[in-house]
Amino acid sequence: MEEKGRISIRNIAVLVFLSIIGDCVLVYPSLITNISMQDAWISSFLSIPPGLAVLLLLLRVHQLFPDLTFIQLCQRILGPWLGSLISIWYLFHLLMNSAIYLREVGDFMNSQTYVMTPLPVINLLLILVLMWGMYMGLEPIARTAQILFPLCLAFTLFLILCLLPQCESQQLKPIMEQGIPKIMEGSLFALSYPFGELAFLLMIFPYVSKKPGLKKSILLSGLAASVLLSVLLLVSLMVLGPFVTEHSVYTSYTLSKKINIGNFLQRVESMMSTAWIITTFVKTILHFYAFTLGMTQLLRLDNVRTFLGPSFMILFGLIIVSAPNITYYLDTIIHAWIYWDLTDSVVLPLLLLVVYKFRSKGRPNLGPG
Amino acid sequence: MLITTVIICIALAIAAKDLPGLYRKHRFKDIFVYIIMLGLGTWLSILAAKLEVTPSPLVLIEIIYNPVNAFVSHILGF
Repeated sequence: MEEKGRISIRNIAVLVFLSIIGDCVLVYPSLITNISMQDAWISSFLSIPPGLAVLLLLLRVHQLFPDLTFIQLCQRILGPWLGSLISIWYLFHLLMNSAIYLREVGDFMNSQTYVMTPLPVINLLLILVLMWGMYMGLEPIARTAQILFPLCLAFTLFLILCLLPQCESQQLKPIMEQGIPKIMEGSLFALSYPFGELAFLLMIFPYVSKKPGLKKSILLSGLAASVLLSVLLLVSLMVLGPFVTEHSVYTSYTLSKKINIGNFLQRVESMMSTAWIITTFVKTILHFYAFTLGMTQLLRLDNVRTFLGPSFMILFGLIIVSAPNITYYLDTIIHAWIYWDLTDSVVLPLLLLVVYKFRSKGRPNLGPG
Repeated sequence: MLITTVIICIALAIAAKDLPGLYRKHRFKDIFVYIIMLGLGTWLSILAAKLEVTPSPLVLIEIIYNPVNAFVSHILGF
């Protein structure tokens, strides 16, 4: 039941990059602008240091026992009963996250490109690709992400560069009209959406090869990804203005419709959407991989592959069941969702650290080993 | 009705592939968990394929975290 693959430091840095920009590059500008209006760029840049602090926290928890995944850490540090409860909560979070990301991709394709296709059919296509990836294992997933990474990076940079001539800084004024509390609230959102969903990394870190330089690579890729997101938000505000950014659901798609260079390079939005589907998909497959691995470790089952069939059926069902319409996951539950994300990526690792320090002060045999 | 039958057939096909192997290894806890997961997966997939509107599991998250949101917003002034 142990995963035999090892992924390199470069692979994990690419995976962290793709996971941070994954689902956010579609909906991040409109969500943050909904809160802070034209000051969304200030919120976004202000949220980068706390985000890197969250990454540091996850790395610190990993360094306690470098070979154990989160589920095994819970069992070891918190004991069997409390550890199992927290593990079930964590796995539920991972499963619902995977379902919601695939739902977002499916809704995006359904509303923009494949308008007449029923949603379960698009989801079936996505699940088939997910199935293939899961049967391959962790190493091929990481290597595929590494191959596809330059494509995604190139498309996003292309989007930003082609829109620079159309930027007007007049759209950003008046600056700080809403006051500090709204900027702080926007910062909380901007912290939780890209960085709060990195809780799955605690399940993946034990399979990274044990060479030095892990911390530096991951912090660097986290910094680069969040700066990229913030620059995208800034460009979106300057090109489209705060009103359109707030009210268009898929802001980056609307942005890419505005690319027009010499009346020759236009209508490139389908190419852009490929890059976003890839990044969201990598994030989903990592979450689902962490879920299946965690479930087999929690219930002490024999082999991960035996239980992939039922897991795919559960995921297929949950994609539709988890939200009745788009408004539900883009508007109704986002205020609750950010606290759920922050619970899993900040509160739970902090709890593990605190309990470990507390127990290892009393009993010296709970040291690293 | 047709889509329900198709999904149940797919579920039985998946079970027929995996369960004999588990039975030969005498891992009865695994079989129990497998059957529960397969039943849950079949039920959810039938609901999904028919596109029925059901309350989602996320209402649990809403119930827990909406008071937290009200509390934090009240404290921090937004």
